[in-house]
Amino acid sequence: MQSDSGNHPDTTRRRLITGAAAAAAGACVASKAPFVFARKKVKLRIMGTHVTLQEELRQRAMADLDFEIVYEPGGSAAVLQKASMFPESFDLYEQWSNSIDVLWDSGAIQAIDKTRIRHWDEINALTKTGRLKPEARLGAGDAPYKLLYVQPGGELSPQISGRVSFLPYVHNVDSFGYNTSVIPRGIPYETESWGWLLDDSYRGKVGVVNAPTIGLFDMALAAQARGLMNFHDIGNMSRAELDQLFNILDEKKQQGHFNGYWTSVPESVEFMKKGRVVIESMFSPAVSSLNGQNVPVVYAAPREGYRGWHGVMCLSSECKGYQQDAAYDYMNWWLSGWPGAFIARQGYYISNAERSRELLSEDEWGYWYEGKETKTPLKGTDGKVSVRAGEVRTGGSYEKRFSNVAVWNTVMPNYDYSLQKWYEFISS
Amino acid sequence: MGLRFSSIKFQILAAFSMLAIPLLMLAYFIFATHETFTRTLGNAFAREEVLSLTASLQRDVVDLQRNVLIYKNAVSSGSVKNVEYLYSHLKQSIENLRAGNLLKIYGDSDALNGISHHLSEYKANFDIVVDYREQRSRLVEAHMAESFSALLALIEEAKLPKSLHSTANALLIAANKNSLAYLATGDFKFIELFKSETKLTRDQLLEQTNNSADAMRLSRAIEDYEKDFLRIVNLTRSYIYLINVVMAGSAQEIIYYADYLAKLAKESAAVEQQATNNELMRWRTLIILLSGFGLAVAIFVPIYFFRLITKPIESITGVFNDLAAGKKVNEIPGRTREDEIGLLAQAANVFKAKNEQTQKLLQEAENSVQIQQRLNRELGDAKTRAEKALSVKSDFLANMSHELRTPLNSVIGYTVRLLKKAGEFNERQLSALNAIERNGRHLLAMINDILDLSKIEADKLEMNVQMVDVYTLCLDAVEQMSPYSEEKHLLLIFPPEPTSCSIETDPVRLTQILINLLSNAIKYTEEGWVKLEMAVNQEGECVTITVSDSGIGIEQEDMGRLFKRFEQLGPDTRFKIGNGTGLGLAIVAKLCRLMNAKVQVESEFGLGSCFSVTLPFYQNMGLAGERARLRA
Repeated sequence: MQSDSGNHPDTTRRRLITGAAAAAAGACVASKAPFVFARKKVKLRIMGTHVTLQEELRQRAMADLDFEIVYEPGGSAAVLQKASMFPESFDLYEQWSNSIDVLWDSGAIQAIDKTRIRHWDEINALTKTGRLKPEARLGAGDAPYKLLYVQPGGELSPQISGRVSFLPYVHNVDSFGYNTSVIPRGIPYETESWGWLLDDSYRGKVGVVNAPTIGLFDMALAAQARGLMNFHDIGNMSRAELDQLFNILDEKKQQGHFNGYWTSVPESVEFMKKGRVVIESMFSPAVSSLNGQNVPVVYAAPREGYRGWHGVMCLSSECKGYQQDAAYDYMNWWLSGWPGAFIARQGYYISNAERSRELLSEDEWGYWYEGKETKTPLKGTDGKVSVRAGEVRTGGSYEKRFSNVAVWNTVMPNYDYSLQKWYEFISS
Repeated sequence: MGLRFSSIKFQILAAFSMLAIPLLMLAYFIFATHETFTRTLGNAFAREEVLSLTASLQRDVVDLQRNVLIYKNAVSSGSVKNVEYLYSHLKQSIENLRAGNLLKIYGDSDALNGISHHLSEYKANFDIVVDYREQRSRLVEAHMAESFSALLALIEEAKLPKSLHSTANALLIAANKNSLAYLATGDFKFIELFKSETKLTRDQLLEQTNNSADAMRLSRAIEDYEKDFLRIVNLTRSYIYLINVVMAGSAQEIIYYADYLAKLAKESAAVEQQATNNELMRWRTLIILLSGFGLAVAIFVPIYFFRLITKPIESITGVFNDLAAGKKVNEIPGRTREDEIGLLAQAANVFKAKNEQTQKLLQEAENSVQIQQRLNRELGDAKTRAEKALSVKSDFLANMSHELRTPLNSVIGYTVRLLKKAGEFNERQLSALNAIERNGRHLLAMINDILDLSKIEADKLEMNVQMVDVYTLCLDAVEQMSPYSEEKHLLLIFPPEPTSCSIETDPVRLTQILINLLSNAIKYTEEGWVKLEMAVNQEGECVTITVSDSGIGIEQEDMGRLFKRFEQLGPDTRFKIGNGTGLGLAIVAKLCRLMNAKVQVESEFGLGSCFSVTLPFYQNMGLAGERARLRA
């Protein structure tokens, strides 16, 4: 559909552009210095969430790329709505694969030309085929590979094509975090369970992420784990199943089970730090941050499997010309190694991990990617120690974690209905 | 005594300080309690305000949600206005909460910041909702009316095979129905149906016409139509998402934080109440303890000072009373004490010693007085006896004199009668007669003198006081004595006195004094002169009569016994001068005393003597003034 940007074969074209071309682009410029002018003019606007829009990354990217970058982080729901409605307000959009449908359907993003992604071939199989290993669970819902390739008709499907709806980069599995000063530490994949989120022992101290495409699955996995109900396909719930699930949740809500619904990572950190909650849906950086602040939070490895998510970097349908060149440069920068190493330290994986490996210490690689015990304390992205020596990452190695994805963040066919139920849930 | 620890001064000071301590503490407690009360009251008001504001906040948020829902369903402009109003009211409530003191006390600005943040997010999202909702309304209107009609008209106009024509028409009508069904139900499956029907229409058009120009144009129109609808879907989902998820979440957070603040206020009320109660209980306990302490001090201090001061003073007062009453006191209490009472006891001890001494002296004095009285009595007896003896002697002398004078006068009288007949006697007889007369007269004079002296000493001489002209009297005396001076060839001088004076005196006795003095002067002057002078003193109080001579004078050693009875100058003198009774000057002295006059003598042996008599003008004046003058 919005595939009017697929005819730029050379990612470095911008650097070869002539003065006349610059003038044709509408800039009055002296012909002797088009290059400098062009580079200075670019200001790349990136919309997204705090998960990847971090100041250290921006500074590093600006230093590496030599053009200005502006981050506009916000709550996941708010930025998604803004992006889908106002593609002119951003150049790149960074969020999760479950926002692809919304963005693609609304025409807010354009297809990305695989050939302009320098290290495309290094991107691993998870995004391309859905499995890191043949025996791995595929995971219910919208696995990213199902939404990756843009078909000639404009649809998104697992069918390989030359254009993709997003750049696969950061991804991870999510679960919930719990405060071990209140809740006894469980055994990964054995006792740790999504069911804890609906355990009456923690009534009044439970937090949920305020995003139906994410939080809904946490709740569904929890209800299922507690044996309160079963889903035919947890990635595609029927109306009846949604009704049943929300009946359970509403009842819990009435009992004061839920303390709050967070919309951003810092908010989820505050919830736990202030003692509002002792267990909540969490994203990995929040766990690292809390551990860095000496709040003993464990990121659970639920025996039912994780809720997977995949970061997507999307190109605005309004991003053209030099802006688009800069956007491709930025996408390539993300797969160039350093950013992958950087986000590895807050628990995220990058799609071409081998390129980042050389930038990580042996202990870091061992701990974050291979699920090995670290012999030295590991620092988080904020420079504070977030992993003490002798610790092993919950859930194990990259492969093990991604072989245990129960469901992916998903926009289900009954999304509209779930929105209504969600409203009833949080407002009841 | 200085301010030593053992001094009573120090102990009184200490006792009052002890009494002052509970008073000061009580005053402090009252202030502190008042302060606590004021603070608690202030906090209670602030808390009440927080509770009222948070309740209003929650009400407003619920109203906000209600109005947003109304807007979501009915796109009513009234609900937009209500949202605007509620938003500003909420903002005001937040400002009021922020301005309040209590939240500052809690030190929790996060909750308020959270409310503020979520409210502004809520409002920003609502503005987007309004925008989306309006866009959607316009698009839906177009979708339901002109867009679809235009599409059908386009199919009508296009040159298509008939079967394709009707298929496309049917498919598009079905797609339109499904789109409307989605708009009515919000069910995702209608979108899928819509999308597949439009896609099928386009595919069939292009397939069956071999991409004819009309079919291409029609396909693009259908694509536009589809895009418009998907935009409606997206708008709908967006604003519903915003309302149902984002704004609902914000509203919940606002309500949560408002609840949290209210809970904080309530908890702080409980905590403060407990703290205030504890504080007041503590104050109360302290006040009771201090009051008890004060009471104990108030009871103890008088008892202590009674024992310390009053009782010892009473004992010592008793000692003084005993001493005053002359009772025997053995020991004075408190003598060994080192305070003021000790000093007092020591002083009492000194007093006791002095008292004993005085008693002894008094006893001795009493004995002396008794002796004195006895002596006085004996003395009086002796005096009486002496006076009696003197009176007997004087009486004897007066009687004797009188008895002697009578025959002697006869002797002298007859001798004088014989001498008058001088021719009848020879020389020798005459000489004998003269001797008889002279010696008789001498004897008479002596007897007179003795008589006078006896009278004076026996207090029987009566003074005949009258006003006397002194000059005349002096002149008379000089005239009486002139024959004797002439007899010795002496010059008797009496200078005329221009101013005479009268004095109150006895003329006979004054004349006697002058005659005695003049006769003495003539007697003890062999050659030269005898002078009588008179002078009135400057103040006019007295008159001095002076008798001076150029005679033999008086030796200094004789001056003391000059006026004593029967004293005459040495035997040589007496031999040279001859007769004399030795009573003249004694009589002068006695008379002068009786007349309140004063007699003085000055003399230089061999050159002469000067006797002066000073007489007061009036008898009652005495000679005080004169004495004073003389002293001066």
